[in-house]
Parts: sequence; C-alpha cells; structure tokens
Amino acid sequence: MKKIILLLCLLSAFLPLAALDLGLGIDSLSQISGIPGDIPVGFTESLRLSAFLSAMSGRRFSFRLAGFGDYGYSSFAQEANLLGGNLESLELFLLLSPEAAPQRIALKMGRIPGEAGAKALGLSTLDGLDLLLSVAQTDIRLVAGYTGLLRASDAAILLSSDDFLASGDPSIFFAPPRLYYGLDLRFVELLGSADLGLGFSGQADLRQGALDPTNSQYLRLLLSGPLGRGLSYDLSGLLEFIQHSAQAEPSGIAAAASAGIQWYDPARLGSKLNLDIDWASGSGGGLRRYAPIGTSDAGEAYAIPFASMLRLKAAYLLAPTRDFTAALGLTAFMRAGEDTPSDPEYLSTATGVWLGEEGLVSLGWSVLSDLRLNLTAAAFLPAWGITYPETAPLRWKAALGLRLDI
Amino acid sequence: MIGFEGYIEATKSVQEKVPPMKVALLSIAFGLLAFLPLCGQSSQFMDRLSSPSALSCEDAAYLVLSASGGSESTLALDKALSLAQEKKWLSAKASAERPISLAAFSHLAMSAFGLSGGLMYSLAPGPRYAFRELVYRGVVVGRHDPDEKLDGPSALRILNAVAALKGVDL
Repeated sequence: MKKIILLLCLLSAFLPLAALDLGLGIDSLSQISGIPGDIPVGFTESLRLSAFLSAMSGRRFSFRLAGFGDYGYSSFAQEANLLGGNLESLELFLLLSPEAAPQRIALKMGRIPGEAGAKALGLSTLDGLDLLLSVAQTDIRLVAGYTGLLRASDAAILLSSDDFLASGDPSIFFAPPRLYYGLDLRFVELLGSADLGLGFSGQADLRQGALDPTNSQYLRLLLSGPLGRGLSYDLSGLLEFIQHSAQAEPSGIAAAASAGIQWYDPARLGSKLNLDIDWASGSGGGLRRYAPIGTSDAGEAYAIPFASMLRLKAAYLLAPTRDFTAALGLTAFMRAGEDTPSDPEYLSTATGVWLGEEGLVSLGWSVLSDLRLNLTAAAFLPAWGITYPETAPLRWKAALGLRLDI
Repeated sequence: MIGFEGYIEATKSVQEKVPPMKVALLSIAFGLLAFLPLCGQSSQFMDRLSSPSALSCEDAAYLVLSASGGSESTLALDKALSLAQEKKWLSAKASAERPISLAAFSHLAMSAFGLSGGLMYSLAPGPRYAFRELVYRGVVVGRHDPDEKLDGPSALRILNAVAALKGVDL
C-alpha cells in the first residue's frame, strides 16, 4: 500500500507538467476456421474496447495506462457470453541521464513490454522493471519481473505439470507466479559491421505448495549485421537449463537456434523477403524438449506449441504505400526429436519427420490513418500418411480484423 | 524543445520528393523569401526562423500562410495570426508571442495545405488528431510530446514534409 501511495505521489509530482492524452480504440476480429475436433468448422467473434491515458513531459518522463474490455463469441465453445478484460500497460518511463549526454540511462517500470531476452523467451509483457544503459556502442539491459498478475491465456506459461494442470482450469485467471530476471548485452558493430548480443535469463517458480517446482535458466548468443545492399542476416543460439523437482520430470538441457536472411528493396514496392530456419530441440541426443517461458504456436493454422521442431519459413512482403501491405508466406514443419508433437491428430506410430506445410496470405489496408482493415487466411496441409492419418482434416482459418482509433 | 534529429526520418519518409536536408532547408527559406513582403519585418522574421528558440504563434501563422500560397501569401506579419484564428486553424487562445506547440503547428500546417486526415480528424479537426495524422504519415517520427515547443528549422521541416505530401515543392 505504501508503495502504491509513493508511486501516486511520484506521478502527481510529474503529471501537472506533462501533456495528457486519452484515447480509445475499438477492435473487431471475426474469424472462421476449420480445426480437428467435434465441430469441424466454427466462427469466433471478438469485440474489444481499449482505452489509454498517457502523459509525457519532454523526453525525460512518460506514463501510460492502458486496458481493455472485450466480448467474445465462439461457436466452438457454444457460449455467447465471454466477457473479459485486462490491464494492458501501466508503464512509467524515466530518462535518468541528461538528454544531451552520450550515455543513456532509461528506466521503465510497471506493466511493461518484454524486451530482448524476455521477448525471445515468449514473455510479451511483464510486471517489473527494465533498466537500459547505453554507453558508446554497448547496450546493457537489466530486466526483472513477475508473471503472477498476467492473464493466464496471454502469458501461456507451460513449464511444469502444475502449469499444465492450471491451464486446464478455466476458473484460474492469473498466470503461474514466476520471477523472471535477465541481463542482455548488445555490442553494436563489434565484429566489423556485425552486432553481437549475449544474454542470460532465468525464471524461478514462486508457486507455494507446487507438485513440481520448476526453475530454468537461458543463455543466448546473437549475431546480426548487413550482408550487402538491402541484405542482412541474423543468427541466434540458445541453451536452456531446466530443473524439475518432481522425479517424473528429469532435469536437463534443451536448445534452440535460428538463422535468417532478410532482403529489402524500398524501390520495388517496398519488397521484403525473409527466409528463416528455426529449430527447437526435442528429446534425444542428450537434449530435452525445448520449453520457452511463454509458449508460442508453430504456425497460424498449425497452432501447436513450437517445440521439438524444425521450421523453414519463407515470407514475401509488399508495402507499396504506407496504407497498404500484403504478405505471402510458406512454412514447412519437421519433427526434430524423439518425442511426438503436442497434437492429438498426430499419428503415434509415425516414424517420418515431415509434419506438413502451411500457406499464409495477409492483406492490410489503412482506409484512413485511424481505421485499419486486416485480412488473413492460412491453411495447414498435414503430411498425410507420414505423420498424420489420411483422414486428418486440412486446418485453416480466415480472419477479418478492423481497428478504429479514437 | 523539439530538435533537428526527430525530423531527419520525416524527411527520409518523403525522400523521393524532398531534396537532401541542408539544401531543403535553405531552399525552403529562400523560397519563402520570394513570398514575403520586402520589408524590415521579413528579415527579422527570417532571423527568428533560423534561430533555435521557440517559434511563436504569430511567426508560425505567418510562415504557414505564406508558404501555403493563395491570397495569404502576401499577408502582413501582424495579420497572419488573426487570419489563422479566423479560419480556426489556430486556437483563439493563441497569442502572438506564445510559443506554438507541435500539435498546434501540425493542425495549422495540415489546414493551410488542405491535407485530409483520418476519420476522427474529419469529425473533429484539431491539434490532437492533426498530430496523430502527422505521426502516422511519418512526418513526425520518434518519441514526441504533442505539447512540446518547436523551433523554426523544425517547423520548416514539418512544413516541407506536409507540402510534399500534397505534391507541393516549397
């Protein structure tokens, strides 16, 4: 309570000097999809009203408070009353160094976006603080945060058996309580024109009376830079050290890696071509199944966790004007470990590695600067007869999104 | 006070229409001289325009009305503010010496050049939505407070970018 009062006193000292802005946003997302299950084709609709209050005083201070309420309908769930809401952001930004100083020290605290290591490990939001020190050609970022006040469906933390149990209980609103900590270093143009990044992150399980308290630590190495005119690359490698307390879940090491090449030519209708290879270890060869802190899906229509998998992705994007974007993507998925994907349709007797391929088309059109339409369609073709039965259905989805900023 | 750096990207975003930075600034300033009435006031105005101090509402109104052409281009300095207020391009509260804010200048420039905005700008034209429009269009780039004051060179950059969006070379 004292901390809240202190924070309010701090804010009230700044707010009279700051420019206040209040805004609203309306989002609508209509989606029709075909997924394996009892109801092969279904419709979902989500309406969201979001609001923000922001205050800014020069470039040294800003405050942002944002939240939303939403209403959803899903014919899959046969429920039409899915009211929800969440605090999106409660961010206080302070530039601690003088504006003109060559070094920069900036602090963000509150409900803040996950950056660097947190982002790479699937935490898009954190309740905590983020301290950035930029000195010469080096960025040093320290992050610490708590996950237990995030919405469970947003954080998608599935590291231990307790997490899996909790994820199946719709009455649990909050994500598993874990402490995230991270140190990220970025050396700009350290190796010629290449940037080098190093990161150490981890999470500690804070759940009381857990069946399987699980801690994990992560080491990351990144290298990125230009290759030539309009060409750039990025490489990353990650090691995960995970410690389960339960005997049934052995502790061990997992790994993930990715490599990508990007080509961009603004003169050719803003063309961008991205080629990426992503790998996340599965069980076998002395490694465990890779588990980031926040789980992410392998694809758009192929919505299973990205783990024990090799993914090859090609995406071509066009942005001929600021108002219009188009993207075409093709992705191939392969199994990368002895364990089977978390997919009930998967053929348990399969010995092949090819899982299937996915195509994606996406169009974005800003009708006006504050009114935007998005159309996305994706289809996943399972590897029939190899890792999926011949009867496995095609998975697909088409979504129309609309956003109005007020 | 908003600085030069923030608008470098803005110039880049319309780079096919805008010459390199220094040349652009000089050409705008000299281009404006052609419109300004030849008197002592105009040389003082040009001095203030090139200085790093905050641009006043009066100078901003004179700059924008002169640059946007039409009958306003031969306007006297002391009449510019009242004309801009009459057209509701500047708030009635704006006084001659008061520094203009980034948002107010955005509205003034958009209105003078007839630049259309988003749905909310069409319904409620004003500094708030004008500033958002210029952020969206890449004229204002980076972290900016809509209430921050801007200097003459920065105002020229915005004006140049807004004019370029309308296909007008200053």
